[in-house]
Amino acid sequence: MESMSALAGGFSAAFGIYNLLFCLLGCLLGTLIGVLPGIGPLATIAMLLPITFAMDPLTSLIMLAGIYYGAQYGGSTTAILLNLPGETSSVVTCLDGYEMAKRGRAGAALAIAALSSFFAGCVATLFIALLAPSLAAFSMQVRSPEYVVLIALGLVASVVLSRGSPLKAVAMALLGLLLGTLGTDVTSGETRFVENILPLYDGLSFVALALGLFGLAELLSNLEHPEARGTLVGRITRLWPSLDDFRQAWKAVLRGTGLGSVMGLLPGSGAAVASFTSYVVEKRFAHDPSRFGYGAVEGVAGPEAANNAAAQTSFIPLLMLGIPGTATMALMMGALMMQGIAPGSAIVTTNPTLFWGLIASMWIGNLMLLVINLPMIGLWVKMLSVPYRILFPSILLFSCIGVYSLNSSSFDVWMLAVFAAAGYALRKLDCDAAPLLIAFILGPLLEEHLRRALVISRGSPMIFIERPIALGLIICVVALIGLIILPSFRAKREEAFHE
Amino acid sequence: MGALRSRDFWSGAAFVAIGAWFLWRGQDYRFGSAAAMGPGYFPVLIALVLAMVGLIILFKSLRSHAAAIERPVLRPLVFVLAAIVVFALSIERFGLVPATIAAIVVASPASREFRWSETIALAVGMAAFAALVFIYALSQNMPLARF
Repeated sequence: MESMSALAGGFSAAFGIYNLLFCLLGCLLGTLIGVLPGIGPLATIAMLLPITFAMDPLTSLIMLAGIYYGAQYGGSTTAILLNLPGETSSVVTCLDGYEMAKRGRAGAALAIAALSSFFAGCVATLFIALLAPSLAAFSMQVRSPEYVVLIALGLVASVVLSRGSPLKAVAMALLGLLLGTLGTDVTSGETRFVENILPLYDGLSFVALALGLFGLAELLSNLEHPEARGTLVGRITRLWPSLDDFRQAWKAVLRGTGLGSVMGLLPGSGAAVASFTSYVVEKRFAHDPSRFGYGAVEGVAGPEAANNAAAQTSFIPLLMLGIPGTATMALMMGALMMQGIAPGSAIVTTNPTLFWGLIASMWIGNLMLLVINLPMIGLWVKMLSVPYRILFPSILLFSCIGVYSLNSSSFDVWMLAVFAAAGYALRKLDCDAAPLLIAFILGPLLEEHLRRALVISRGSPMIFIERPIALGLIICVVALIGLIILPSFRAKREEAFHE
Repeated sequence: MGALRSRDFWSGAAFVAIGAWFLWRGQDYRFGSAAAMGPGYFPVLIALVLAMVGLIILFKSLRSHAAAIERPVLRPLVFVLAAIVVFALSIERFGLVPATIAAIVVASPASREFRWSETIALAVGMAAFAALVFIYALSQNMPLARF
C-alpha cells in the first residue's frame, strides 16, 4: 500500500498546472506526428531534447512521454482511416481497422481503438504501481557484475528485435559501442579517438547522432520514395460502437493489456512487437479466425491495448535499471542524463516525485488523448493534407536548430550532416540503426561496470557466474542468443517484420 | 561481379574498415589487463570483434546471392545535406533568421514538387516562427540576425 500513497504523491505532482500543460502539449504533438507519416516519435523527441534542457526534469519527461504514447494514438487513427500506419506500432491496426472503415464502421473502429488504449493505459499504470516496490528491491541487488550482464541482455535484445540480418545487427551494436568510446575516458582521463578535434573531447553529440541516423535518414528516404497516400474512406457517422462490438472486444482488450504490460518490461521489445504479438494471439484464440483481416473488432482492440500498455511499462527498465529497451527509450535516457539524473536502481527512492509523477502523468495523458482524439478526429485527418514538400524543410530546420541550441555549437550541426549521410548509407546497405543507438548510450556504462566488476574479481570472469542474479541474467542472454540462431524463430521474425 | 553491387559485401567491407581503424588508433592507448583495464582495452577488443564480424558478413556475401544496393537518388541527398551545411555556416555568422531562410530555400528543391512561391512563403513564415519560439519564448542563446 506504500506504493499507492507514493502514486498519490505522483498524481499531485503531475496535476501541477505546468506539468498538466506540458502533458497536454506532449499529447497534442504526439498525436500530430503520429498522424503525419514521415516523422515519428523518435525524431520529434530528439528535436525537442534541447528545449527540455531548460525545464524541470519531471516536466520534460512528462512532455516527452506524452509525445511517445500520443504517437501511438495518432498512428492508429491514420491506420484505420487511410490504411496508412503513422507508426510501426500501428501497422497491425491497419489489417482489421481499415477493413472496418471500408465497411462503414470507421467510427466504431476509432472508438474501440481509443477506448482499448485508454483501458490498457489505466491498467498499466496500476500494474507499475503494484510492481514497483518488488522491482526496486530487485534493482537494489544489482551491482557492477549484474549491470554488465543486464546491459549485455539489452544489447542482445536490441539485436534480436532489429530488422534484417542478425549478423549485421551485431556489427551495428559493436559499432555503437565503439562510437560511445569517443571522447574523454572517465576512468583514465585520457581522450580517445578524437584526432585533435576539440569539440569531440566531450564525445559525439547524442542528439546529432539520433536525429541524423533516424530523423533525417527517414526524411531522405521519404523524398526518394514519394508515398502513395491512401484515400479516406467515407464519412465518420456513428462514433459509438455497438453493444456487440463491446462483447467481442472486451476479452481481446484484457489479453492485449496483459500481454503488452509484460512485454513492455522486457528489454528490447516495446510497443510495436507487443501489438504484433497480440494480433497473433487474438487470431489463435478466435472461434472463427477467418474473420481476421476482414474487419474483426478483436484485431483492433487487442493490438491497440497491447501497444499502449507496452509503451507505458517500457519505462520501467529504463527508470529502474537504467537500461533503455528501445531506441526511443535510449533518447529518454539521454534526456535524463542531460538533466544530471542517472536512471537506475536508486531513482525510486531518491527521486520518488520524478518516478511517480511520470507514471501518474501517463494516466492523465491517456485521458487527455481520449478527449483529444475522439471529438477532434476530423481536425487530425485534415492535417494529412499538408503536403510533404512543405513538411520536410520544416522538419529539417527544426532538427538543425535543435542540434545547434543544445551546445551552441555549429560543429554539432556539421555532425548532423555527417550522421544524416551515414544514416542514408546504412539504409541503402540494409543495416538497422536501432542497435547502434542503444549501444552508443549503453557503451560507456558497459565499459565502466565491466572495469569495476573485473577489478573486484581481479580479472576473473567467474564473477559473472558466481553471483546468482548475474547467473540468472546470463541464462536469459544465452536463451536469447539461442533464439536468434534457431531457424524457426528466424522465420517468424522475418514474417513479423514483413506484415 | 555481383559482389560489387551487393549490400552485404559493402556493409561487411565498411565494418572491417571501421574496425581496423579503431584497432590501429587504439594502439596509442595503454591496453592494461582484465583486472586493471587501460583506456585501450575495451575499444580495442570491440574493434577486433567488429572487424571479425565484418569479415564474416563479407565472406558470406561472396558465397551467396545478396540483394543489390538500390540506386541512390542524388537530388534529395544533395539539397538536404547542403541545407544543413548552409545552416551550420550561417547560424553564428548571420544569426537565426538568415540561417532559417537560407536552410529552407536550399532544402526545398530536394522535392520534385517544389514551387518557388510556396518556398518563399514557408521561409518567411518559419523565420518568424523560429524567432518567436526559440529566441523570445525559450530564450535560447543564439543571435536573431547580424550582418
